[in-house]
Amino acid sequence: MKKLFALIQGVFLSVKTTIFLLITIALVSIIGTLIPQQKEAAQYIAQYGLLLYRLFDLLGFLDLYASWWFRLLLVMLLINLVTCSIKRLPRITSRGGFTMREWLGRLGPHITHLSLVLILIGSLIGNLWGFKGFVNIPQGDEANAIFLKGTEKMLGLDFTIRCEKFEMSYYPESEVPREYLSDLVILEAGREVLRKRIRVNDPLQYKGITFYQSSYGFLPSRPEERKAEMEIIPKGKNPKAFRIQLGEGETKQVQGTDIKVELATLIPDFFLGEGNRILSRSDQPNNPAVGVNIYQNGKLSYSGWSFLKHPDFHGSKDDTYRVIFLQYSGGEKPYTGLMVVKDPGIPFVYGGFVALVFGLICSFFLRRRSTQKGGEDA
Amino acid sequence: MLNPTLFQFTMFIYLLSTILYCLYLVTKKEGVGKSGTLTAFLGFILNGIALGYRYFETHRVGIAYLPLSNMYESMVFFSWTIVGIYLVFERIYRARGLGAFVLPLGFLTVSIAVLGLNPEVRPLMPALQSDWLFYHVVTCFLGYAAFAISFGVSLLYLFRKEDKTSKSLLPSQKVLEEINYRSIIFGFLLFAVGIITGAIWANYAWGTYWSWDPKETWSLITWIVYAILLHARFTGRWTGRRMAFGSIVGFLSVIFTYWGVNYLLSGLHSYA
Repeated sequence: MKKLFALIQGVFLSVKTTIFLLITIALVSIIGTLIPQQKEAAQYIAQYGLLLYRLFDLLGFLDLYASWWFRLLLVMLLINLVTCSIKRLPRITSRGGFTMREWLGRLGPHITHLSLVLILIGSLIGNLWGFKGFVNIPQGDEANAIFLKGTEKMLGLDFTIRCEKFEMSYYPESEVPREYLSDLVILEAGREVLRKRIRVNDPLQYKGITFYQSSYGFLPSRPEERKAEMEIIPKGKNPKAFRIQLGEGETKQVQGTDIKVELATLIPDFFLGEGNRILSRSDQPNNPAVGVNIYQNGKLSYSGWSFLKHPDFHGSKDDTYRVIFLQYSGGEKPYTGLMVVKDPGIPFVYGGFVALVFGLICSFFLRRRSTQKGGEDA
Repeated sequence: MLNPTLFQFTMFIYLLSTILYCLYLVTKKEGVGKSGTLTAFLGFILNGIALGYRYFETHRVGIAYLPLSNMYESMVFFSWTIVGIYLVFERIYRARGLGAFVLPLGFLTVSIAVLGLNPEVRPLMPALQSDWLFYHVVTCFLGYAAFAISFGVSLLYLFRKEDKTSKSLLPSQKVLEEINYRSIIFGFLLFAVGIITGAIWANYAWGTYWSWDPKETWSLITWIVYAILLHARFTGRWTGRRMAFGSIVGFLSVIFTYWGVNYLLSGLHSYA
């Protein structure tokens, strides 16, 4: 029994073990940088084949840093660091015979090691009692629940968050986005308690939960909300142009004339499919097109296509009118994509950061040169 | 555009300084060595002016950012930190001969930027628009530069035969070991601060201080390599040649963290 204890003590207390663990952690970490992590199974199978995929999955290579054996390595390092420091605790806690500077210099390595322990404990606390999630809020809407990351589950909040406005700006003369901005309001029982305009690098925090600007998008519009504004120019001796706004399937009589305009088709994203079938590629207004029929005295006198982004193109055999597609309004609503995080481990992690830097400064710059070599096996 | 021209001049001055340092080792004339140091110092000043000028240039084109945001800018900043830290070491240890081994690194980094990378001032994506960019990049690159110097010193250590004649212009192996150790602890501390500021920034921008993306993982690997070196030294096991080999391995890891990850792997740091 004593022998076993001595063996365990020998394994956990030795600096050789520390170095072995550090080398192992460094080497296996490389695997996770070579194999893309946390991707879809289909992507792995396409890249590596089924057999290799199953092997990687079995070994935990596809989510390596969360695998049980990687965490075991980290816990072993933690135990090693703690036991190494405890063993030397009696020798270093008393200041006897040392100046403050020397004493701090001797404490330095232990402060450094314990700071790493603090960081690991902080990450554990974050894993156990924190969460990561996301929520998409359309402009003008509210949310009081979020989706948890990596699961289908939702989590209720005990307050409401509203997105009053989502905006993005671009660099001058380019399509590179400069800023994403969301005006957020926190509501408690219907009363406004906090308001902030967030952007990337400037989140909103309330009750330990932080909301980060993460993405954006547009809700697909409903067909009945889509409208097209057109200018119609009759050809002839005295052309009198007129403007008209219509929804799909709508027909309007032009005031004071015998002309009727029908918007037969309104397509947000025009696309010519197989066999010249006219389709819409998506709900987004990427290439809006209108199919217009014009009747004079009840008789069809014009039928053709016009495009918002190609005003010079006229898809009509009839030479009676010219139809210019001026404006498309689809009623698309922007939404803001928020990352929602609660991490009660942060104070420990940041405390660990401060201690780490302090410990390193003590160990490197406050020790006497004679103690730098030999003897001190921390 | 004036800016790339300033960096081209810097490149030529670093080349000149490299040549002078090498001539110094051959001719053993003090004056040649001094002119090598002076040229290196002039190059350092010009490199700094070029960086400052680029900062104003980003304002002129209406993008306005710190010129530490893409590969080109990081390389010209890297050369600046290498030469700057080297000049400090040269002064402290009175080891002028080292210049022949360190200045080539400064010349190499600035020439890779000037000859091979795109110097265009490009708009900064929203995630990079933060004050943390400055603290993160500056500390990381000071760390990298210190590691680069320990690499140069280690190369010299391995090639140098200990001669008993006291007239050698190169520092003794004992001094080289000391410089190697000093630059490693300096790099280790600053690189730690670089990783920490990166973590705090990531938590501010993305809500997570560590996401095991390849750049983060490789910087941790690099840090661990140097941690192993320091522990092996503290226990008295690794000195001399072993330490020099270890520091070369460490610098290969630095190069992979800096370049390999960007060009061979993919991840969040794909922009710089």
